[in-house]
Formats: sequence, structure tokens, C-alpha cells
Amino acid sequence: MTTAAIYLTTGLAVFIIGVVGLFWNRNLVRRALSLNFMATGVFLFLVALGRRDPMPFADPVPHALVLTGIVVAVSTTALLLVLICRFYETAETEGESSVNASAERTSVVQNHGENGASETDGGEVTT
Amino acid sequence: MNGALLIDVLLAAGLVVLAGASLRARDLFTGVVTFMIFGLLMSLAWVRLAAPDLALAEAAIGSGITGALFLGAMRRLEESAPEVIAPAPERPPGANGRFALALGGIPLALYFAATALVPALLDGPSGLAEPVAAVLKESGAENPVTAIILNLRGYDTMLELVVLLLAWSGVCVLQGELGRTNIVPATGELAVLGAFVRFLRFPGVIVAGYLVWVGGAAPGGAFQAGAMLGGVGAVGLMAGGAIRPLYAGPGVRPVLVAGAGIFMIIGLLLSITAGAFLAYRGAQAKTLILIIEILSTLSIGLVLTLLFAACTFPPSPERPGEPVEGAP
Repeated sequence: MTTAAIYLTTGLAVFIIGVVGLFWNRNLVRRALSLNFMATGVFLFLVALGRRDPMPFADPVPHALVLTGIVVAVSTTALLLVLICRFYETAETEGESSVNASAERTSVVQNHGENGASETDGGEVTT
Repeated sequence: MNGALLIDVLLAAGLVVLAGASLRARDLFTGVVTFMIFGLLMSLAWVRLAAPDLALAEAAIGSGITGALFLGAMRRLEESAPEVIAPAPERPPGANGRFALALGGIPLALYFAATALVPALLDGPSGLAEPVAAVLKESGAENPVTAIILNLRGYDTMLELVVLLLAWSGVCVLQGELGRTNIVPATGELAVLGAFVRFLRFPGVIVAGYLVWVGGAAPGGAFQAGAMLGGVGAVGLMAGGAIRPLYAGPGVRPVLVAGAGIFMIIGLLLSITAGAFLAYRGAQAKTLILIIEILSTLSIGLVLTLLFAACTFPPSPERPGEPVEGAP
């Protein structure tokens, strides 16, 4: 087993953990965290692919790609977190007329309901 | 099994366990802190994969800034929606969990199918190291990663800076630009922290400057340096806005667009004089790369600071979306 093979497997495992976490958790902040793990898994896989034959210097192209990816990931995470914060804040301040809708939305994070409607609701926000 | 491989296996196992523990943690705070520890282990993994540039970026951005963003968002949600931050109740997997596990099997199946169909995926020759080394002399940077980011694939990096601007614009659409009223001023214990942070900006700027300068020849560069500035800015904001000019001066918007702007200006000028967009080679390349890197560092640092501010501070209730003073 080579170094590259070890980290290829690790990247795959971290990505899968991220996928499972993304769909398992109802809490939107946890879903954002899962997305970050998925991204890191992909980065690890990419760089390990560029390290298959051990040379004195590694293939710099995946490094540059992943460096770009890390910065894009942090900016999308920031936007996502602001979206999530605004979502919970506006869900909280909704009027009496739509109290049912906001209760349904908070149930996305609080309860483990098997409600299909609330599932799609949460999914839309995450993407 | 030799010692180096043993380190790899231990590191890999640690990464997988921490990733699982972070997402399974009942307490969200524990989850986020575990994520940050995961990031630090990741930077060790990057070193093992001979990618020191990524190790720097992971420690500064992947673990540091991203972790700060999550902690900032949690602080904000603690006030407006405490039930989101509360520890999750213990619960069985349910249909959602089973669906999640099944979905996790798809990448696993794809991986085994791909390695079975294309054996070269695991042990074929990798890469573009030699073609890059062949043009390294003309590219204006001795560090191949910097050469790719700022010359060979400069177009990608320019668009990446635009992505940062887009994220900031999206944040502005959601809750308005960062206004002065949002920041809680430093008092009491925070005032001491503020004084410390005001001192901290000098070594912070020196380290960032060094990272930009050294990026041409060794690991480092605009993104790591920008993350350093972003970190200083974020700490300043946590200390009650100790470093005001970073985010509330009149020049905030010009600095935000400086990185992407200088890229476009140089690109357009070269497409007239040299006949192709961003086609700099040889002697002029080093100077142009340094100019682009310095301005990009300032832009990245400011954008990261503002993104952190947006995650941490809700828009002020009395004057929502108040523009930054002095901005056009």
C-alpha cells in the first residue's frame, strides 16, 4: 500500500461521511459542516491522484486546483451560513398568520419528523 | 510496514474518526471544534502528500477562517434561534438516516467501478509536473504552484477572486453591507483584548507581506497571506471592532475589487500589446505577478474579514443595510 493509496481511500471515506452527514442531519448548520467535509474529501482525493508515482517533486497542477477550491469553499460556506442565519431569523419573526409554516420549518432542525414537505424545504435552503 | 507509512495510516485513521465524530457530535460546538482539529490534521496530511502550499492554506483558511465562520454564525444563532444550537436529542436512524447511508454507497460503488475499469487510476503515471517544470523559467515564479495560479492558469484565479466578490455581494443582498452600528464596541475585558489585537496587526501584516514575497520561490502566496490578513481582521472584529479602518474606511470598495480589477486591467492591456489575455512571460512576468499578488492579498483579506463579520453580526435593527460610511 502506497501513500497515495492510503490518502485516496481516506478522501473517499471523508467524502462519504460528508454525504451521509448531509442527509442524516436536519440541522442546517450541521449540513453546512457536512458540505465542508465533502469538499475536503474531494480535495484529498484529487491531490492523492497527483501523487501516485513518487517523484522528488509532486504534480503541482492538482495543488493549484485545490488551493482555488479551498478559497471557493470558504466563500460559499460564508454565504451559506449567512443564508442559514437569515433563514432562522426570518422564520422566527414571521407573523401570526404563517405560524404553521414557521413551526414546520423549525421542525426541520428540532424533530425527527418523516415529513416529506419539510425535507424538501430544508433541502432547498442548503443548495 | 515502514515508519512513514505507519504515520500515513495513523493520520488517515485520525482524519476518518474526527470527520465521523464531528458530524455525530450531539453538541454543535463540539462538532465545529472537532472540524477545526480535523483541519489541522489535514494540513499534516498535505505535508505528507508533498503539498506545503495546501498545508498553509488548510491551516489558515480550511481550519482557521472556516471554523471562525461557523463559531461566528453559532454566536449569532444563539441569540435569535437557540434551539438550533441546542444539543441534538439521541435518535434512531429512521428513514432519513437509511436513505443517507444508501446514498453514501454511491460514491463507494463509483470508486470501485472506476478502479476496476481503469486500473491506471491507481498506479498510472501522474501528471503534469514535467510540462510545468519546462515552462517554469518563463513564468516569473520559481514555485510551480504560484506559477500555475498566477500565470499558467491565471484566468482561473481571476475568476476565483470574482467568486469571492460574488459571495460578498450575495451577503450584501441578504443583509446589507456591514454598517458601523452592527459592531458591538469594546468595553471592560474586551478593551484589553482590543489593545492586544491593535498590537497584533503589526506582526500579522509583516507575516502576510512575507508570505506574498516568499510565494514566488517557496510555499506561500496571495491566498495564504490574504487569509492571514482575514484572520487579523476577524480577531479585530471579535474584540469589538478594534481595527476599524479594515472594514469601515472610505476605501473599502476599491480595495475589495482591487485583486480582480488589476487582473482584468493587466489581462486586457496584454491582449492589446501581446495579443493574448494575461500572456505575460519572462522578465515582465515577475513584476506583474507581484503587483497582482499584493493587490489580491488585500482584496482577499478584506473579503474574508467582511464575510466573517456578516456571519457573526446580524444586520442592525434600527438601520438595516446601512451602507459603509463614505462608500459611493
